[in-house]
Amino acid sequence: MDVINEIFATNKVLYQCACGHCKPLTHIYFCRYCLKMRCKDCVYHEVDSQYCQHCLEYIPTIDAKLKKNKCASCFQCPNCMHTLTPRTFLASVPSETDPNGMTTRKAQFLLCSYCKWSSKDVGIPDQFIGSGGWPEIEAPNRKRVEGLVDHYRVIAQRERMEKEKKRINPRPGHAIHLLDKYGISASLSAKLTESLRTKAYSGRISSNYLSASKSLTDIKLEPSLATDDVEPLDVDTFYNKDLIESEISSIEQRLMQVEMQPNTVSQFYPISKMLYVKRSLRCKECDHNIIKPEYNSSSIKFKIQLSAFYDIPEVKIASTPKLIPHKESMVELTFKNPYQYGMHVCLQPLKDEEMDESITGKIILPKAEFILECKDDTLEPELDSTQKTRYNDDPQLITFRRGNKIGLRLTVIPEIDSGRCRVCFRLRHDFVNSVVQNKSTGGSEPQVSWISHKIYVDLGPVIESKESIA
Amino acid sequence: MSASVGNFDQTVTIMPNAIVCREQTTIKGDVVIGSRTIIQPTVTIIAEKGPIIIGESNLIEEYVTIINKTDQPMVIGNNNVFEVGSHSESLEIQDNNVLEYKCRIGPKVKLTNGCVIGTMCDFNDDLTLPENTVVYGPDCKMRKQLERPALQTFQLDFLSKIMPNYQRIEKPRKGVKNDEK
Repeated sequence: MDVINEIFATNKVLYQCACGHCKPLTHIYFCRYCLKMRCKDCVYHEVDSQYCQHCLEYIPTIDAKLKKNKCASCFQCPNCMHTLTPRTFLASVPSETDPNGMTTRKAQFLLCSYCKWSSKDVGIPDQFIGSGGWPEIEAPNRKRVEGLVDHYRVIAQRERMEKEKKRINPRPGHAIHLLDKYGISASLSAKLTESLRTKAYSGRISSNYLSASKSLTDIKLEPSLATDDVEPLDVDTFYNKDLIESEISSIEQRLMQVEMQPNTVSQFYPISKMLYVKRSLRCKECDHNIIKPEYNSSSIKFKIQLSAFYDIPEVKIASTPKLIPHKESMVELTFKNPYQYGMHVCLQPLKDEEMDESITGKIILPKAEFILECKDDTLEPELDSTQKTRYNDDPQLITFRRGNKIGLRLTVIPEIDSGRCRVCFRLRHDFVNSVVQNKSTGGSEPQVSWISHKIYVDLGPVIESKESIA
Repeated sequence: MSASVGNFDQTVTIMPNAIVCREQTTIKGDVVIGSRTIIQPTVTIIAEKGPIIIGESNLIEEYVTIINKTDQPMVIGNNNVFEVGSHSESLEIQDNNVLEYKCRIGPKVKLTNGCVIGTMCDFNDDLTLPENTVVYGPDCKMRKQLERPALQTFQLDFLSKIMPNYQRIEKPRKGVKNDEK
């Protein structure tokens, strides 16, 4: 896992998102419509569909709400949180036809293959196949909580109604709204439209009021009372009884069963699996989808996936030298073009006002522009010998060129005596937009635009000189 | 062919009806294998000083290692299952225990009846596990099970029928004690 994190989620090279957050390239999206970086903190998250991660069953949103976002058929072990597996066996039951005889019937119980917890441990009767699901345990405060939720819903509704009543200009009713939509109201007389408006409004209000007042009387809720009576503390259970560790549940186990919070192992009950959601992400500025997963819950593919990993050049540290404070050292960075078009790239220093405290080193950037070739899966870089001669590369600056990847040698001067050396620069490149076509050229030519990103590179700790320590 | 032939000491005793596959199996020192016990290929059983006594109807799967490094005798009871890759140095394993895949138990542990050592558990505490204890997870958490694990009778019957058709089986024999030589 560490190796994977090192490659895909390294914090050494951070890109600044349009919202100002710095994140590794793998955590950033790139909106091809606004041509801006987006991260999970600056996009809309929308729930696409709900599904059970274990049985992969798709559950519609309304059903999921009714089932408290839990799967009806999959359970988790209350002891170790592993998924429980139903075990089928043949049980002998009294026969229906012969009162004295016995017959066998398929029954099942739930078993955890990890810690061997089974539904028999807590005395849950075995389920016969075809007799429906496992009985659901009722939470002790369910009625009270539901009553409170209903009560406050009514109160919220009433408050909303009062607010609406206070409004001077009533919102047009649905009928009048239609009139406006199709431009009929202009052709009707002013008197007629006004009467229609008031009619629609008053009718709506009164009907709403009726239902609201009705439901308030329906709910009979006892208000909670504060009492001075406190249950006496049973000292015996805490001090005088032997503690058997294996019979008491741990805090994690109690919190996993938050409705019941069993104190002892014998009160455990299989936990229903919580549903997972598929999310789609939407750009806040242009309302285009950035991520849209496929609807099918067993699919891991995406319909739309505008991850920056596919569009923006990837910067990596190839080699870090010994960083001596206030002295020049050579750092090798690699740039890789993941996009289907070639790119012209140039590196720009930050403006003075863009500098911040976290930048602890100075980087000397080349003025020249260089070209990154497009990504070509079929290309074999070792065989392509013409590439070296095709570009007039300065060997002092460019250490190697292999396919869509290029190595640059840059000079860094750490400006601190101890700590980590961080440098920052702007990466400016052209971007051929294959999604958005340029309207001015008649839609046939792809639109080319220049974009720039602020990139922070953490080169690691500087070597503290012995003089400064002494 | 030398690799496929088992590596057995003269001191090994194999009771009648026991099935001991020869292929890449190493059994060394003073070892007694009880009847109806099945030892699959690539198993290593080594009695360095003290003897190893394995009871009846045990199932010892591939890549299992059982080593006795002490002077005391190691006693393994009946109906135990050693799953693939498990490693045991425990001196006392009674009946109906299961050692799951790649688990490892040290010489200080003693198992009573119906205990389960979970997959990948590395367990070497100085204690005797009470009956029906389950050890699981990377932290070797313990819990008590209601029932002991199911017997592997069906699997044993099946293997004892099928194994001789495909494997070279070591014949039952009486081990020669070192001092008798």
